[in-house]
Amino acid sequence: MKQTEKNEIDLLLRSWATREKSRSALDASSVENQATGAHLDADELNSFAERALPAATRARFTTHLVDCSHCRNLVVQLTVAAGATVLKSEVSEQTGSTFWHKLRALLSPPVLRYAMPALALLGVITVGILFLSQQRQASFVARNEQAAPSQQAPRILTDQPGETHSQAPATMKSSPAGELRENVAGKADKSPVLQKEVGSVGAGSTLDSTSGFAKNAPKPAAEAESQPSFAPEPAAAPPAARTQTAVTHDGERNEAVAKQKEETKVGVVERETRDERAPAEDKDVTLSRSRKAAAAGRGGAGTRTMEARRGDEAQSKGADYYQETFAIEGRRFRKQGNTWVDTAYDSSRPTMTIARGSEQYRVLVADEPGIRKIAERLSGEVIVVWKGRVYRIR
Amino acid sequence: MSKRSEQIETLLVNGAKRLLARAGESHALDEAALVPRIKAIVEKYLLKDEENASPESIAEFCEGLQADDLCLIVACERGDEGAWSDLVARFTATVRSAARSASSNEDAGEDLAQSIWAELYGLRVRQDGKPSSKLAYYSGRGSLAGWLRAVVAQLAVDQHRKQSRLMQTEEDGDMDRLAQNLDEGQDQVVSVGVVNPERAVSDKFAGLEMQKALALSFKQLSDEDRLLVKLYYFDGLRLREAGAVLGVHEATASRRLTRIHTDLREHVERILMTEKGWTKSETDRSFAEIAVHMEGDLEGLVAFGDAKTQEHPAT
Repeated sequence: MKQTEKNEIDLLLRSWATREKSRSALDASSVENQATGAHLDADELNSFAERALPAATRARFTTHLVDCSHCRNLVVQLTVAAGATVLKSEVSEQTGSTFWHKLRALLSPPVLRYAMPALALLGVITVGILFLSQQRQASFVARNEQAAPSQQAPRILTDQPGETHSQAPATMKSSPAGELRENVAGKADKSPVLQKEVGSVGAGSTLDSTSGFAKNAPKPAAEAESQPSFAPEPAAAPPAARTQTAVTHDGERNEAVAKQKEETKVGVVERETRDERAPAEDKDVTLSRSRKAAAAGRGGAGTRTMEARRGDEAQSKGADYYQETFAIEGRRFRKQGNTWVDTAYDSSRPTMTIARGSEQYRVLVADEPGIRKIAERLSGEVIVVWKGRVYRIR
Repeated sequence: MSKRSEQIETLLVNGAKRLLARAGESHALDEAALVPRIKAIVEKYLLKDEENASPESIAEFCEGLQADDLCLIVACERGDEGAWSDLVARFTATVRSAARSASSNEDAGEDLAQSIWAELYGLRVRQDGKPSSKLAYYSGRGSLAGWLRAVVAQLAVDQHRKQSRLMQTEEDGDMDRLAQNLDEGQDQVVSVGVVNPERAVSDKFAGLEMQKALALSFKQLSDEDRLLVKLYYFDGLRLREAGAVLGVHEATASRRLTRIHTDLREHVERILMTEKGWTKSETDRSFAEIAVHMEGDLEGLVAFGDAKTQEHPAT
């Protein structure tokens, strides 16, 4: 419906214009031309066409142009002839200071032309880094599996007959248990109850010392030694630590059956020990992460070295690429692919594209013979900065 | 001298100094040579429409002047031979190109270009004994090349008018006949769609009322909107060209035109309903019927134009 309404007005306006044309064809000095008084002079017409007028003056001239077809025709001619200037200033207006204007300028084809390959290269490098770091992490895990069986597996088998929960991770061997001991020892310094527990926890820490372990745990079976060793599952680490401590505490309880008060205290210590275990596990994870990070760091360093090497290669290639330069008419140009680019060219500035042989080109070179010389000397596409404006001549 | 005048004078002197500083080639001009010219320009383009323009806007206006071009022209006016040589060397191609575009053939273009240089040099002499040159009209607001093209275009139109007055061309006769036939053709087209005479009179009356309302509504539009309508409908420009004249993008011109249609429609309806006492349904029906007739008219005009073209392919 709305479109129809618009069409009706459109048709009415067309009809009116047709009648007006036929009337002015009959009478060259028609009402429209008579009503306007003095015409605009050449300077006023040109200033209007080039939009070089203050707003108030432009409004006055606009009023005149509405009613004066003679001046209107001249303004149209001049606007077409000065197309490059008008378009350029239009672009300048569009690249205002608002956020959207800046965003539009940022996403404009001239900027994207350089940004897209750079982003693609960055993406490839990022993927490469991730891939390499993952590879290194995978090899790190594999080393862990190989290192663990020789020391850990027999002990696991030794623990297994009596207790199904005795798998200890390799990471527990050194730090978590040690940290656990240190943590509990730290608390034991403060409390006599804890002091006692330190011994039991220390017994639990015989995961490291074979002597301590032998006291509390059954001797390993002979056939167990012949069993093939395999790496413990990292996820089993916290339960293993918990059960080891629990076993130790069970022994304590047996010895102190009569002393119910102490048993209660042991329960308290056990809870505290469990509480202590959580940070220990956290530290375990942290250590693991730090190792991974270290591995990644090594990998990253390697990747960075590769990147740097690639960058150097690209730079050296780039140096060759931009090597060809040419100076003419006081301007210096460098060859980029098939394009001669003015060294003063800034890709963020609005560029006026002009085809060789076009009317705009003829007008431009007529006004600026310097550009003609440049365009004639340099074949292919030329980007020239001339009097503060950027022209792309194709 | 009032304080305001003193202030303006100071601004003009400063503007002249900055202009000389901006110019790549000052042609040995000083501020004294430029201040009267700049003053005339400021009065013509700024103070005439904005009498109480702020000092900032005056300074900004002076900054917007084309320093190189204005210095060159002022130097030429002062008889600097070097400046003349420079002017001719730089703008011969521009003048020739513009003259060729405005003329029907190469020779006529060359003649026109020569007369432009004569006008610029000033073959006529003023009362004070100095040559009357068109250079005095260049303000430096727009580019010198653009101004030269405008001078060429105006001179070409003047010459064409002089020639037209001397002889009634065959084309004029054709135009007369064309307009006459158009009127007859319009009547024929309208009569084709009419069912009965009473309805025909009614439609014609409604059409007239609507055209009047449209003309009134058109006057209510802003100057920019009216100029867009004139450029698009009356001058037959494309939206891109009309937008370029107004200094806006084609898409903006299109949106503006759509809004103008809506505004005109609303205004015409309001006039018909409030001033002529039409009902909404009557208005809508008249719009629809007039549109049908107009479409027929335009189609008839196109067909008639095609027939004329075939009849006179040379024209």
